[in-house]
Amino acid sequence: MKFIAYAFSIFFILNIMPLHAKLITEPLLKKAEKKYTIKSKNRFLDLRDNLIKNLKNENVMKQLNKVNTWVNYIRYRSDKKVYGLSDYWATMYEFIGKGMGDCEDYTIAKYYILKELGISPKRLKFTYVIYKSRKGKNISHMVLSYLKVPKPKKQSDILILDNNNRLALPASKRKDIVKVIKMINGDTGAKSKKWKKLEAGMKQKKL
Amino acid sequence: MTLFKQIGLVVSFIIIVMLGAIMIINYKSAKQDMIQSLYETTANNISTLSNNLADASEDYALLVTTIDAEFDSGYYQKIEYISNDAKSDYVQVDNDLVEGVPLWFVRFTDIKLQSVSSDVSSGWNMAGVVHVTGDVGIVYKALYKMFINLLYVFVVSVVSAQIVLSVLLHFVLKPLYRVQRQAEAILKNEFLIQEKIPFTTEFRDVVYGMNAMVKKVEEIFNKGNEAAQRNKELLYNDPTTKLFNRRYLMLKLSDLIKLENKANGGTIIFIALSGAEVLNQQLGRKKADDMFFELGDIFNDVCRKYDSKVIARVNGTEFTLMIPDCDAGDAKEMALRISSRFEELIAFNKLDAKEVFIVLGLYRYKPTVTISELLTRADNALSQAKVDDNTNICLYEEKDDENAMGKEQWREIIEDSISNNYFSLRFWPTLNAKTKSLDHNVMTFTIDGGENKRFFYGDFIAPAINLGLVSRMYIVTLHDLITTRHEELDGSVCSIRLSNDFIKDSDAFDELRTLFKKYAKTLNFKLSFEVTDSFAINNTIVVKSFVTLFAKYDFGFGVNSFTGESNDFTYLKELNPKFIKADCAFLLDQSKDSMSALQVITDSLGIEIVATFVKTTDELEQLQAMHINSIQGPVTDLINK
Repeated sequence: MKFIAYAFSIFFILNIMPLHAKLITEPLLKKAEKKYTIKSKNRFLDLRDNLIKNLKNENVMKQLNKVNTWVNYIRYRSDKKVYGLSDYWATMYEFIGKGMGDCEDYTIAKYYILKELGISPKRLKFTYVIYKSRKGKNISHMVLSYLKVPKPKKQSDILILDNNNRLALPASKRKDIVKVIKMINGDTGAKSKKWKKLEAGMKQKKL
Repeated sequence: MTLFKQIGLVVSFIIIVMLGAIMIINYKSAKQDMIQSLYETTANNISTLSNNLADASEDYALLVTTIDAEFDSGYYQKIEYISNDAKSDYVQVDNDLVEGVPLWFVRFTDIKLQSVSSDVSSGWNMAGVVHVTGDVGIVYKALYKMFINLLYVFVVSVVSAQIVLSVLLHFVLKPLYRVQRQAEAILKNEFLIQEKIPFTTEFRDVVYGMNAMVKKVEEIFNKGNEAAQRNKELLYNDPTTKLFNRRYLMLKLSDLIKLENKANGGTIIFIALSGAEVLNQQLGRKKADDMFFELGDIFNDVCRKYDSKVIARVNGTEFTLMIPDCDAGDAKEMALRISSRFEELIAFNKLDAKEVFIVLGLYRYKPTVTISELLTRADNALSQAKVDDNTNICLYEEKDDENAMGKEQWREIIEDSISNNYFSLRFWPTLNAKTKSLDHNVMTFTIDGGENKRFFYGDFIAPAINLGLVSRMYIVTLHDLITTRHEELDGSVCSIRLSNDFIKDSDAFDELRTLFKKYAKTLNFKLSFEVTDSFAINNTIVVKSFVTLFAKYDFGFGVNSFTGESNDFTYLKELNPKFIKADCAFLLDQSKDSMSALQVITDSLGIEIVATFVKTTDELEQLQAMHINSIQGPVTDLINK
């Protein structure tokens, strides 16, 4: 009888636990503080207790904008400087933990936070684009695209979450994105080698 | 190594080699297929990539993004673009370790994948070359997974094959086990017939052959047994009473006088019947014979508790009851019972007790008495009984020597000898007269406890039996024999004559078993044990348990003091001794037919006949003429010279 009571208790606790608790756990917070600084831990706490908690029942537009803004506060640093590699896809935990990363790391973090907020990953695309800087230079870049409708037919149906812009604007209003090279799925389609590595890292909560 | 193990090993080896070969072929083939498939996929992809790069060749950012997008969304190890002007070269590489695959496997597999190259051209402009290498990690992972699966399949197949093989071999070789058991039984001279005939032709023929052979040998034994019984009756039995005759009595007397027992000797009873003519006249020949037969039954019944007795009809009206281990008191009581039951028999046959009566002369002898003294004194007692008007029974008792030691004195000496091991082992040889070589040594022991404490076996065995010390005494001497080195025994066989009292003692069996368990492997000579024939006949089951114990340690077993007194030699088949020892006089007294019958029995059971107490070369020659070559007794000194 005791066993059944314990089993029920565990089942009940698991069910009332907020979903975001799965993304940011207590051991992760301790680990982040130990590995980095208290600031690192605070970033995770802010993400969990403010951003995700507050946005849970908000509309999609608000979610997209708030998440984009929150993530964009993190400093930009190239992979070469942070990881010593020319190209590296950091997990959301590494990115927020270190408090720095490049355009792909912003995209990945936004993807997982929005997914946590309940946005369908099928609407989220990793997009390889050419970004024209203010100085007029073409730069290889990655952004997160949100499809307002499942099968968008015009540019305004796609919202762009970019580390160069605080707002999630429709693609039609992003004249600085001069070319779209490729849109790839997150974890909803065929998974590439990089995706598999990233998924494994996310599962392990790799800091 | 057994046939089962040999076949098992060979077939297992073949199975392992075959499965191993299949595994290696599968693995190599899969490896080649995967590498080829990866190469082909890469070749297909490079076409699209080179087209995309052609459009992007003018813009470095576009070129980089195109390569990144391709690299990130696929399975590549390396994509390298080399521009003709060397200004816009770009490379994406992933040299990370293959996750989920151990390093040893990566080193062992060592896949070398060729890169695929394609020109990138925009119109007539040759912009550069792109080199693409597929991700071998996929191949490693797939191969490792396959390797593990193949390993599981291999292990499961080998284990399953072993189980099936084992069951199959057990089933197929089961008849062979039975053939082996039968062969072992034949070697042990046991008559084992295999009832289950094997299905396999070869085994079936072998079993038929062995069964036929065993049946023949058993038939020979049975015929020999019957012939021996017949000859024994003719030679040593009185045809009317079925009692032994004078000839047998005289043969046995010397053995019986010296027989080890508590009573230190025994009693001989001479019985003479008076009025035989009246008996024949009044009853007629047939009824008179019936009465003699019943008289024999009375004798057997009265002294049935004595195993080693001999009851003989020495002539038409005289009987002798030689009863070792029977003291005067018991003998007198038996004489009275015989007399009383005879009177009842007379009354039953309506005869006059004054005309037909028996007279009994009893002589209580000691083991030191000679045969002639024994017979003379018993005859004197009978004569005395005849002349005494008051009774028909006369007892003449050999008084104990006044200087003889008392029971307590013996107890002290024997217990002292057991505690301090005053026993001194003696060995005398049994020779093979033909090869003049030693067959085995026979062990006996004396007490050597210093001055006035030296005694022969014959002196202390009777007190030891009386005091119940025989088993302890034997265990001490056997322990000494086994644990102390006796140079004369090295590499030979040593035979020990076990006392009847030792064998009857159940504790002695356990002690002997413990002794063997502890020391049997350390012996540098072989042990053999002997029991007396009469004891073996009357205690076959007990002796059999000892024989089984001896066989377990590969020790020999034999029967001594053999006089063929049993009416059935099946006990020899049961006990399967390696030899029987018989007095030279007994062997030489045998008729040609009875000796031949005995030898048929011994030959069919693989038993060797050993002649004991052989004194002269004449006796030796006669024995050799009977093909008896194993000899014990004074003549061995002459052979050795």
